[in-house]
Amino acid sequence: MNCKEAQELFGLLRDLPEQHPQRIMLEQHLLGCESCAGEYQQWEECLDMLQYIPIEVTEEQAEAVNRRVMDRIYAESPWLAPDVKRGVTRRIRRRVVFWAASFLAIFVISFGFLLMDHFTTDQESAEPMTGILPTAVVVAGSESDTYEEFSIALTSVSRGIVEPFAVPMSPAYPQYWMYLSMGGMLLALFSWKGLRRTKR
Amino acid sequence: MTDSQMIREIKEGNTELYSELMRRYQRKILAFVYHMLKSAHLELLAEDLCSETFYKAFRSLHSFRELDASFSTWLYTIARNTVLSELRKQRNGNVPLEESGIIPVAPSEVAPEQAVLRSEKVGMVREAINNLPEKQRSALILREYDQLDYQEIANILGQSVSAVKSLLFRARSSVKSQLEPYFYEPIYEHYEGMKSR
Repeated sequence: MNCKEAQELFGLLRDLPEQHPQRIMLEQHLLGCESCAGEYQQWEECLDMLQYIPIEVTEEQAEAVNRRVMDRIYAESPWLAPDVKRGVTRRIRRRVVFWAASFLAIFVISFGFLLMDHFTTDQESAEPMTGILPTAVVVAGSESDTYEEFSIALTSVSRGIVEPFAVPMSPAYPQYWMYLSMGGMLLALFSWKGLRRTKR
Repeated sequence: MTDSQMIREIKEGNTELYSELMRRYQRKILAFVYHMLKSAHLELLAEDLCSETFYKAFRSLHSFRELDASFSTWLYTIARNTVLSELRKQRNGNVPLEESGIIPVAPSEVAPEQAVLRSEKVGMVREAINNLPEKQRSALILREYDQLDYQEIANILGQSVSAVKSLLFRARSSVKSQLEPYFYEPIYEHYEGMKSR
């Protein structure tokens, strides 16, 4: 390393790690070159002087900045303030509880209805129906065995007049209510989870 | 909890956590702002501008992407821009840059002569830093006082690492040439001593 190369490194020597090859070469050069050693001493003194101006930032000053920023955030966005947020959260939580309880009640009632329906109707009528009925043949006062399977015997009906059929559809109303209430409860649970996260 | 976890929580609505996040950097940023302003004798504005920096950071937190830079680098960038904007404003408004009169307090055991000498040195160093072009000054402060590495300084200044090295070298050379008269005598004596040998 010559003197010119050495002098180009003076300003950066402090930033080089201990074992950096350029640092080692420069230190070797300084050992053998008095002119560069003198120049480097000047650099050292000058860079040391930069450290003469330490800035003492006190904890109080830093905390004052912190408080000022948080106050400004809450002043300009009041809904972010912890008190307001806590009040809102409590109100929302009450509503969520109310909705969850309502949906649970609907679920329990519809489940009860379903059970009642199940036990009060006989097995035959409880069979799910497709809505497609075999053709009804009205035979007044008939005793015929040929149509026994697919006929409905109406003893006192005049020929040609057929009463409308009431076809029970499946699933029944209580089941729809159960699905709805389960959906409602799931939504309430998700909202509850979100609230807990916000609270944290 | 890491910075990125905290930032995620804050973005999700846990605003109170921002105070905790600030606590990690408030001293460093305040010191940086102070250094930048001190060279223009505007250090009284340091706390205001530091608050402004953190407030701006909070407002822009949604746009912060960790892939681009670390949170501290991002904060330094905002702080630097805030300070530069203020300095520009002060310059345009022709507000005189008054001496603050604040002299660092010397430790009690230091003799009065030493304290005077020290304060004189401090004044000279400040003046030397003040005379640097803005980029050199920022690079020097970030390196000397905030101990950031080249890559971080490059990110803050929007320069390459080699450009930062060059800025630092020029800044130090300039400071050295300004401070040279101060220690001319000892060096002169040093060479005199060499000649006589």
